[in-house]
Amino acid sequence: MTHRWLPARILQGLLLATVVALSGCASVPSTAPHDPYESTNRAVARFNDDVDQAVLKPMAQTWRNVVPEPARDGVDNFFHNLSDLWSALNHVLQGRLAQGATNVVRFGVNSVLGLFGVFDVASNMGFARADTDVGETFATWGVAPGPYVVLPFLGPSTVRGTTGQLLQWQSYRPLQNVRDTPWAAMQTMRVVDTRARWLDATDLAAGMALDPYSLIRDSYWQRVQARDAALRRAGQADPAR
Amino acid sequence: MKNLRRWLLQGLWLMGLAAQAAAAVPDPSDYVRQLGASLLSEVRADPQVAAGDNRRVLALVDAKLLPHVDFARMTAEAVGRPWREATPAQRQALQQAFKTLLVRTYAGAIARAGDMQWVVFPTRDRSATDVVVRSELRPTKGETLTLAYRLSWEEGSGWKIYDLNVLGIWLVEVYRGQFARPLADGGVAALINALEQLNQRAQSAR
Repeated sequence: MTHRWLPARILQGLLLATVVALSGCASVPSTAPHDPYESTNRAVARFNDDVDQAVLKPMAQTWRNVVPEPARDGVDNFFHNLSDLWSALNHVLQGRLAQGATNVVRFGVNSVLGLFGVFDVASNMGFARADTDVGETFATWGVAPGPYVVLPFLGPSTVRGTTGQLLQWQSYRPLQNVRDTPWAAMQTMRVVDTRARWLDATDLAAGMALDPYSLIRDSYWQRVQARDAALRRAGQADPAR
Repeated sequence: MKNLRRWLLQGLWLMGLAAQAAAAVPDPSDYVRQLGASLLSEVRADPQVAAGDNRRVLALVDAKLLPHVDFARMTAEAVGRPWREATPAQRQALQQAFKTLLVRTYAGAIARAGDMQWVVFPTRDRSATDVVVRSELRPTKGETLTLAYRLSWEEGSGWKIYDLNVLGIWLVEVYRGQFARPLADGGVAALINALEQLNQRAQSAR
């Protein structure tokens, strides 16, 4: 999940504080080799849960009940359109030029014909969504994910993913400075909308876990491994590389 | 002498080929495709299932899906070493509780899969008796879900599914992690207890 509603600088400060705290903690022996910071991670996860229960989840439920589906899709499409361009750059960095070009076409088509990205017309034209990010670019370059980390507000990540996230925020800076853009309000809407899409999934996880923390961690970790393996296969298969 | 050895080896190799041809097993991808298609057609035909009526979904899963799943193996692999020391009654209780949990988890997804397009990819190695069949569930809108199944073939019982992968995550592996803590704390009895409590909580939360 990508939550980018607080000003980037506050979040970066929080992240740094967490990293500093991490280096002082690792006292309780961890049950999983990929989670050496388990005790700190659990504390952060508890904090995230409290924030979610108190603020985010109720907002997401209201959002889903009040706003009709086409409007919610519009919000999702709008932000997805911005990230398509970001994905395009990363596809190119990963050596998938064709996929990068597709994403640029998607961005162009949706920005113009899809009214600034509110409608995903490109998907209907056969240009399918293919998302990627800096973390995956690092993966293609052979960078290992590093230990599992739970970030305040943002949730599960890895050391590699966190680095990518920080870079991505820097790239959004120019957009934040566009005058008269209700950036904070838009980001809040985005976060609430994303959370609303995860309502069923998180309810499901609560009902299937003996220990939700390790269920989420182990699932996330397996997914990182599977994604990395797929990226490596794609890298080997692509004659352009 | 050298010639004789080569001749013998070739003979053995030919016999191996013949044995493989004789033991040819039905295509696992076809098997999964047919199983899924019959399940989906039942879902579409029954408006109560499509509406998410949990009891109807459970009945459907019990009748149509579970005969094709090697549930004892799934549970045994998720439990690991302590399974060997478990009594037959404990094994039964573990399977029952795990099954209740999984069916509850996936009932909603099965009910919603009715209007999705499902593509099962062919299996390359046609002689293998232990395979992974990959598939994609394509909704009319939104992102494609990848699903995969581990199947093993046995004479007499045919293909049986013994693991499921959703979005790159293998179920048995995840539950091995979930089961480890209660097993370490209080053995098989503690695990049964934990699973039954979780099922009860979910039941009363509904």
